[in-house]
Amino acid sequence: MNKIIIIILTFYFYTGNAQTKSSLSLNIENLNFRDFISLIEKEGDVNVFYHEKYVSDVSINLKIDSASVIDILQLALKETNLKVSPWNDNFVILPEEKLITQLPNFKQQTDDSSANILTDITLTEQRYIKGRKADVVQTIVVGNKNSHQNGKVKVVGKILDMDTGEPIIGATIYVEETKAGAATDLNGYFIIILNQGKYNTRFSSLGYETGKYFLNVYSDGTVRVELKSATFSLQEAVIRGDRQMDIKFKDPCLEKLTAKSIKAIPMMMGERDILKVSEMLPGIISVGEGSSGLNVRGGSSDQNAFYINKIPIYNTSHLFGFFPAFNSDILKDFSIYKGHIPAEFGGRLSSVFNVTTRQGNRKNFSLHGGINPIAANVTVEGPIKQDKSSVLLSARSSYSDWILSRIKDPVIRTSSANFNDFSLGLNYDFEKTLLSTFIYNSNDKFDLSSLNSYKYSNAGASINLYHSFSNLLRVNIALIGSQYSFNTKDMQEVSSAYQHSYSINHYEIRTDFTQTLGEKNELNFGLSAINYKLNRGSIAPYGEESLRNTIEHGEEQGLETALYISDKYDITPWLNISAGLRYSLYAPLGEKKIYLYEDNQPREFAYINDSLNFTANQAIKWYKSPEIRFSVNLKTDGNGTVKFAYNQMSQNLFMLNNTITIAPNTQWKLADYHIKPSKSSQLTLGIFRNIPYKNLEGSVEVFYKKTEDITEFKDGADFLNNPLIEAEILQGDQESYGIELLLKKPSGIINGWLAYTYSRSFIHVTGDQSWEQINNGKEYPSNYDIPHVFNAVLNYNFSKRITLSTALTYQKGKPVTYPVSIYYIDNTPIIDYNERNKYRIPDYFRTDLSLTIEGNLKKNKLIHSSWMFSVYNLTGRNNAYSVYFVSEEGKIKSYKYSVIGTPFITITWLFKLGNYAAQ
Amino acid sequence: MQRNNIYFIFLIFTLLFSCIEEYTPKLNSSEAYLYVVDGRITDIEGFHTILISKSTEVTNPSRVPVSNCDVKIFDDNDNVFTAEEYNAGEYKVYIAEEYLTYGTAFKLEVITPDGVIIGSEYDTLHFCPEIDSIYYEIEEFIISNTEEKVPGLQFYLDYNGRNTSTNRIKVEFEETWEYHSDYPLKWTFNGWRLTEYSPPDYSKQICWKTEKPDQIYSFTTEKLSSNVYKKFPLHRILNTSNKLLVGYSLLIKQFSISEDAMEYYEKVNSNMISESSLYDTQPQLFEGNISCLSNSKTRILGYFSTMGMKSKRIFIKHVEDLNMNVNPACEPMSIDLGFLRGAMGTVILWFEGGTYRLNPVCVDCTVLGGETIKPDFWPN
Repeated sequence: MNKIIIIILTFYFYTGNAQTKSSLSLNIENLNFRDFISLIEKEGDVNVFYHEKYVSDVSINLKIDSASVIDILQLALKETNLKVSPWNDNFVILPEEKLITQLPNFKQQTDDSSANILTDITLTEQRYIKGRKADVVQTIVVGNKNSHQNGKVKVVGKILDMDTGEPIIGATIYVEETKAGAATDLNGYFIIILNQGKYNTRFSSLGYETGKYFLNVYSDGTVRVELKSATFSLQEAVIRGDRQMDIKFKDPCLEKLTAKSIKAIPMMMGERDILKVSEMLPGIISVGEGSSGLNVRGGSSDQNAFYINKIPIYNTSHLFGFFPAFNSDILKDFSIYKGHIPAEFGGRLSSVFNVTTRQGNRKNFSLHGGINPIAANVTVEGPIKQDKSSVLLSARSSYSDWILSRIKDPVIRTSSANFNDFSLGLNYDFEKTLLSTFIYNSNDKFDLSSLNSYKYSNAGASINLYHSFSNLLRVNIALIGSQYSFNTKDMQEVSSAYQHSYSINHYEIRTDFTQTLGEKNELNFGLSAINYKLNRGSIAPYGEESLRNTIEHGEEQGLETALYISDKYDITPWLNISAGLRYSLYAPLGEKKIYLYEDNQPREFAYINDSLNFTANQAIKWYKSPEIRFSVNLKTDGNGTVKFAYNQMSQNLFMLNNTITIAPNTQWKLADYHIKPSKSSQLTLGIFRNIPYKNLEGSVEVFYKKTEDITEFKDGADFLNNPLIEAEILQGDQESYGIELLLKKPSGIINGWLAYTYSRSFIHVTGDQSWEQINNGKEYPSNYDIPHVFNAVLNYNFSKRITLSTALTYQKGKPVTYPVSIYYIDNTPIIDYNERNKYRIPDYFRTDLSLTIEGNLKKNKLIHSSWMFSVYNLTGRNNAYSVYFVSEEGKIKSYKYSVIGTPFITITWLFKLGNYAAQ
Repeated sequence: MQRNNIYFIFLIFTLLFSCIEEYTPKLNSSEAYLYVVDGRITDIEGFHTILISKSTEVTNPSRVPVSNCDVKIFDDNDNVFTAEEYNAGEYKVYIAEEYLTYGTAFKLEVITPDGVIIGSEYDTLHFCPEIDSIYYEIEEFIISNTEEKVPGLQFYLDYNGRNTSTNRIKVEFEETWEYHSDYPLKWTFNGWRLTEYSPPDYSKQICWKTEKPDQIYSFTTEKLSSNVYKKFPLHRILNTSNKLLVGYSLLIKQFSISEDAMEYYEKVNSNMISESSLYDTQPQLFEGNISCLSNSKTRILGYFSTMGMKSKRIFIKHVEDLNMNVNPACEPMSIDLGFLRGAMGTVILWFEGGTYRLNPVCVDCTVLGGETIKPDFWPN
């Protein structure tokens, strides 16, 4: 029954730089070989030569979205002993062997006396000149043939994006002969140590076609490789075999999100939000709808550090959590560290979210952006000097109150909500030195009629100098400045109207060294110093009629210095360890007046018995924190690793928060004379496996974390009217533990992941006296103790142009304090609450959906555009945000409050001028 | 009156997408039924009341009085005053003016029939200045979840504590209003016989109703630059209410309270949010100034306070510039008498200008909860 069921669905042509290549889309069942070849010959406009006797019993089953002729032929013959070879723009099929079409390339370069191929002509250009020869492995010569260097050879390489010239982070080189590899750092560099000789190497990175090169190593030298973006290549399913060595697997508990996976997730209000994507991973949960902030492994939201090109961001979202604080279009790499945090990072207990932006296209100018009903964004990038220097400019703004002005309610109609952000990146690549600067600014403003006004902004700049001293030592020096500030005005009651301005400034200098000690040993060390300057502002009267007294919260200063050293050592190919020590020294600095309290009395104004005065920049107290960072990776077999990590962290900065979620006017506060820094220790054990069947990846991780001196607000804490913060908070212990399961299908027509987390988080604040206790000294669940979380992300690629994505979230309800009884005082019903967080609000469940439709994908179109339709909360479920009790006409009623109780639909138009692949 | 007002900011989201629905969580009732003491001593000579009850489950609010307690008041000059039970759980104690001097502190001690000894902390009596002024302004109010703006009165209190050290104030008030039923009782029909009252019964045509708010109003001038508070907002009356139709009287009581009492009422208030929003503060666990002396682990609820008091009554006859828009409670229904023949029960009828059936509220103002006895303070 040799019959074609469905033949060609679509058929595209597009032109590359040098050659004409056709891409076919096929769906074939049980077709005999001869018919199959004539189909290919007809549609691909090629000739295929073969001998009938080899193929008489071959029948073809194929389903391919888009592939080149040679790829199709190879796939078709996968199960046979036949090999396809290109031959003069046509193809030859032979049993067991490939046709040799030319002499090995490296012979041509034997008379090349230069030390390496790092010349003005890039590989792309060389290829351009020579014309590309399909599947011919090119040879890269490293070092000087005549140097006769003895012993090991150090190869320093740089992996770049072929289309944009930007360095690729986390790209890997794998040497087949030695089964060794290396990964590129944040600047696209890698170092690998080899013996002199010839090697088959593979360069790969997520989202790129794998580059295969023949490496001919003579002596120390450099390599520069450009990888082609895989946007139009066959789906990664075909490159399955190349995944056997993934260096990122050496970092336990590191989650990496690429721009591609971010794009695939449905988003609310038409914006991509990496924080929302990270909430879909195990161990990370959102603080709540309408709030920025995440809880990682049972830690509070102030325990996460968030960096964009090393600039710390203290408020990561716009419009109360509904929009990310920066344009996702400019992101290149987003890494989350939550189990093993490398020694170079410190200052937060739970996690590090590290964002690196793209450096901008070094070859062509391009412009892209998106428009949705709430905001629009635009990104411009291009070379300043071809292949050397680039600029990336991105801006985003909400439209002025468009939505609000359509609300009939007069209070809302006269209100306004605006946000905008801006970033500028400039880079110059001196080959061995890379200089980059980044400037970032974001603003939010909300006025509710004439009742309240609210503003906040992030601003920051970083200058980063990267230099590769020799083949073995690299240094990164960064100067960083950042500010977060907010201003609130409250005009609801004229007599007590007030305004409050707050700011935290962060000035940092850091130097990070990477020293390669041998082929299996890498040393990282460095130092950093941060100066925090907080102006906690004053609660000042607002308006002429306000009778409020000004309450000064005053200024605060702190110095946080740290030294670290860590070593990554591959003891055997299957056992790697990373051991590090970070020593941080923190001091709150003057000028400050510190109040002392009577012994055995609560820290209240009434019990002040003395004070200490510190002069400007005088250290008030020194807090030392030696921290161990240790991890072991054990490769159990070709498809799995077991990882263990022990991590100690400390934190000198925390949030003053007593609301259900994080309010945007939540103040940051430094540890001081009375309030100690918090310290945590975490143990993590993880099992990671590749499941060859269906190309799945799975992991199981367990963790146990213990934190000392965590800050908790007292019942009824008032951070606005009491300048003595030590009177409003207590310090206690926190304990959290959990198990995280992840099953991922990274590629294919259907891809995505399933994640389940079981974890608990408890707080215990106790002391001898009743005022030193919270919840009567009994342990209680933290506000973010959520035992069960299940997330599913599924993407279905209907075709190259149409993708449907769904995201499902289920969470056990958050802990809540409910009343235990009711009584009356002078006719007024009074609700009596007893134990903190004893109950839970109803469970949370949400489904999001998005459909992305790309315009046609012709490569050289002037403008590429796509549409994104997204639905947030598809089922319109009224997820409880809070449950509260009110007294209504003498009766107590309880209500469930949902922030978004309807499906929320947005349509976004994304556009791009210039080369499509250039992103 | 310190509130965390951020939540108003999020009204936009509340109105656009959010949703509030009734929800009854399952609560463990084993911690209900605690002793509650509600007592107060003012600077006015006479009987002072102490209420002793037990708390109840939240879902079933009621007062469970506790009788046969031994209730005593002590002052810090070693005087003891014994209270007598007048009604179930309601104990009264007479304190003469000579003992009610400012600066004197009082405390309470209770022994319950089952032997639990309850004691309060000392609370000091402070002078309370006269009420500076009570007034209203005509404002427009937005009715939640509609776009409608409704005019009405917003009452304010101005406080002036200049030349005194009293800076913590609790305000209580009592509203009384007169309202009328539309018709006298003239005809009734019980299905077979028509009764005519001659003269018509006007006895239930005029009523007075008194209500106390179930909200606590307190403020402090502690954080203000002078001991004055302007425009402290009290309650509001919409033009759709029948309170302002005939006459309205407001009795305002201003109390000076101690720092601890202020703290207690602030905590009560902060737990009583009127509408939810994104950034509500979490509920507080707190207790009053009363504890169990016989077993420190037993929780006792309530508060015993000592407060100076001043009061003032204002009367409002007619509000100019406010157009009333009260939906009539009485809606006469035009009927054919034949239909009622042989029907069970007595109906009220009206025959002037047609045949009408009246609902009871048309002829009986007490149906709406008022009383027909004119209060003593009501002007003629």
